Amino acid sequence: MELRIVVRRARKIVLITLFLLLILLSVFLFVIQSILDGIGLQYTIESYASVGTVYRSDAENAAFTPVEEDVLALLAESDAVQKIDIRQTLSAKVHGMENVPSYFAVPQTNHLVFFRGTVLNQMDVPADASVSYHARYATVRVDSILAGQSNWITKGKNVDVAIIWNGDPECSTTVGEEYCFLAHSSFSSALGMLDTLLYAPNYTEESVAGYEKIQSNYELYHDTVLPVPDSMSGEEADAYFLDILKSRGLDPYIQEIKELDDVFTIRQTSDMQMLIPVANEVMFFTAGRGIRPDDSGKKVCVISHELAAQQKLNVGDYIPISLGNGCYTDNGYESGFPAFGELSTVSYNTPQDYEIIGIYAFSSFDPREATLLFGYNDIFIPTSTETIPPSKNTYPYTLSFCVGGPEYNTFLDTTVADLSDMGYTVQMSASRWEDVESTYEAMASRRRLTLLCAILSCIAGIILYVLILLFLYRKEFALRELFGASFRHTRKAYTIPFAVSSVIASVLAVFAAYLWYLYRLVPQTELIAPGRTPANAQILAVLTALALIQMLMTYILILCLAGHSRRKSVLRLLK
Amino acid sequence: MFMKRICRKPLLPLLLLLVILLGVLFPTVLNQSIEKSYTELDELYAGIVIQCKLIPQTYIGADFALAPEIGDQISRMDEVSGYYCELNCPYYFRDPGPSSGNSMAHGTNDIYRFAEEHALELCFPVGESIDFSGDENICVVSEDLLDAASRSIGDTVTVAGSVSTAEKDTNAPDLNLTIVGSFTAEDTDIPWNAIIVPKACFFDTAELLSTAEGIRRWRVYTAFDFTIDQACNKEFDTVKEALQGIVGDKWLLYSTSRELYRAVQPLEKKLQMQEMLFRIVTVLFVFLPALITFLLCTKDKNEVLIRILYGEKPSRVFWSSWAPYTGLVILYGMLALLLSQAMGYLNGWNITGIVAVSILAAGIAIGLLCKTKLVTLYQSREG
Repeated sequence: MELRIVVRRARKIVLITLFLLLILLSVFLFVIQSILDGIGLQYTIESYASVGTVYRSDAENAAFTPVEEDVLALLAESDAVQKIDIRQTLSAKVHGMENVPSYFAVPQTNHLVFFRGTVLNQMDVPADASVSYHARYATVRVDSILAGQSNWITKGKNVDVAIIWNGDPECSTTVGEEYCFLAHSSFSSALGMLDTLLYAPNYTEESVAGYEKIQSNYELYHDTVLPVPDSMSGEEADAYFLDILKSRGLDPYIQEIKELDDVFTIRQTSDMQMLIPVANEVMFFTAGRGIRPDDSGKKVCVISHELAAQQKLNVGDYIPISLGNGCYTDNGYESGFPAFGELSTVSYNTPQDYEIIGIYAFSSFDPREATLLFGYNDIFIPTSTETIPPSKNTYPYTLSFCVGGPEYNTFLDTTVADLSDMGYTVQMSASRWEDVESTYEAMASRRRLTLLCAILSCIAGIILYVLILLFLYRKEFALRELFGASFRHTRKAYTIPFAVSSVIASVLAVFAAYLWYLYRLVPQTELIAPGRTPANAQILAVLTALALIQMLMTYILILCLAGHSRRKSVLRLLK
Repeated sequence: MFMKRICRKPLLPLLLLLVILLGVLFPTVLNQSIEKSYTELDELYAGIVIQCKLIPQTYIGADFALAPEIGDQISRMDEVSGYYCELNCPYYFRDPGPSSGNSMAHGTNDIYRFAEEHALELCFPVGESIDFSGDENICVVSEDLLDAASRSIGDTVTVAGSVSTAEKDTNAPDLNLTIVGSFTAEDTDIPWNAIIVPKACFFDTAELLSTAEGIRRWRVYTAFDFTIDQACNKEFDTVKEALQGIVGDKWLLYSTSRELYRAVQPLEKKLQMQEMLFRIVTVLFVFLPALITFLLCTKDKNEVLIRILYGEKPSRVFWSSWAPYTGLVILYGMLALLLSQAMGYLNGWNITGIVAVSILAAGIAIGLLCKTKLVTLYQSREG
């Protein structure tokens, strides 16, 4: 019955609905804009954050000394610290994919190469008074491989071997003769890093007395170049070599090296932007992107450029990763590979396909910088909700925390001072925040001003809508007053058109703004703040809430003004 | 008459004025905000230093060896503001000189950066600065070499290039170099008997590299990086494509552009999105005054009815009723214009749009009234 007011004068309801629709659309667009603006600004400001880690000041091997729980708690409690990322390390296998033959950080068992070869030429390095060893470089043609990564050493091709010995015995290799080599690839601070160079050490037991690690694997460090008897054929020589390995207890390594061909080191991270090398721009993405917080739980991974080049992989490809139930620790360095001379202990679960979303590379790479870089066989995956055995220790290189530019000075004054008292030093990435701070502050204050203008416009719009509504329906109200109707009845002259127009306008405005957001703004938000796009349901909820708030505000205003209208004379209303 | 009506019922005309002011001033504030943001964005772009480096695509331990033609092509680009290069070749001292055998001659275009890269401490005569970007025959040697060769700064030495580090190329032409400075170092990869010469010494066939084999083996940049002109930061993506086109597939182009990609470019996209939304809001604000004008004009129903009843031509009624509203809207528009000018931002299109659409709305409203049949018009009356 009351709806007749609306139907009788359809033109009026159309006009006020249109008016409210325009107001609501403007408000909704502004609100969405303001939300995205805030997210975008926050994202850009966060990119100026400094990423850092902590080291024990007094430890000899600080980079590989675990960070104490108290320190982690202090960082977690600090207001200046925005985020903390503690990376878990796992051993993993990627079935059917050979890893990159490279040396990084620490020697590994799969650096061993057992092969038979003929010395083609050799050169002695002149003895230097400053070093206690002798070295001979030999170019060896590989005749047979008993164990060794196939892409590290190839049968029929030449390989350079540095034969290193100390003590009195001379190295007795002869050009043209065949030998069995127990060599390994490694980094030598004295001889330098050459990927194509293998080392065959022959140390005396006395000389390694102080080296616990070498002592425990001494069989791999002495008599590593063994002459093949002249009378032996190829197969006989291999059998002879195998017998020697068995007699020295080294034969398990043959299978072990094969087993390690497809092993990789998994680094679980919540955000690759929190890696110090990424923040310092030493590590960069040649394709795709890094792991982001919104990747949590997804089956995605980021691999090295070297691995991608070797396996001809690209972004969008899938690799089957079997995660292990742990990792190996060598003097504080966590890796997916067992330490040199050790055998595997990790068991692997069933493979799951991971999509490659990014490929990383380094602008400069020093294999000794394990604390600030990552190896070519490191694969990054996002942190997941799956139960992963937590690492017993947090090392400086597995810890990253992020301090926003605006909080940097507070961090220095408070947290760094506390850390210093606890015996820790902080290493932070460089940031240009101080240079750009004023610009971003100006942008943020303008955003607040714009938001204020939008709120005022919204309020003004609602008042205008109410005034127009009251103006259009004042005669209906006056007639009801004239006939002595109750206030409950007379105010319906306003509330019914309000209800009809505001419901229609709100529904249309929410629908239009939501569609606009879905189809126009979401793709753009991904460019403005990747991975931070608000959920569709969130936006819908915000729009609905705004529409309801608007209705409530309008209703209250109408009730107040209806009361005011009642106090006016009927004649005045009818004019 | 019109003014009397306005004064008698001022609510709607006042609302119209408010809405027009709102429709003009709100976009003014927004546009001012966007313009300021764009200015600041330009400053942010100009503040970024993008350094580029080439990295061999072939993996693991590949030595850096860039053909100088590629390097020179890059360094000649307008978008490249500066570059740094290194190259080297074996050399030996022609008599008289230290009997130290062959060593390496290092070429560079920037001796200061070279010293920084190799941890050398340079010693130049007080107040002098040395420019290695030219083609002068000058060199910098170590203090130890100065002693061994019994020379001092300002003396000339005669050297010759060689193809191999092991053998001296006796046919190589003499190269006279003036020692302009010396260096000391504690932990460097530069041997004591090396010399540092300008890059140009490697590009004259009469000088260090005199044989085809020498040129093939040694005329390559062993280090090369460059900086993008800060004025071109905004077009970095295009510049990057052009650079990749020059260096080809064998090289990865690395750039220190994290700030550009993580902060400034998203900010620019954010502003573009803001601009688009503000345009929409501006358009929406154009229609608000139009609606009120329409409403205001429909209130002239009685006036129109009476005048037509008295036999006035509908066209005359139309023009005479429309003109005052046109004047009113123009007046309001002028007020908004003055106000926005006072605020320091004038958006002519916005004001014109608001005024034009409102006048059009008034025309439609009055036109519809004039076209309506008298009976219908009478029946539609409320008061």
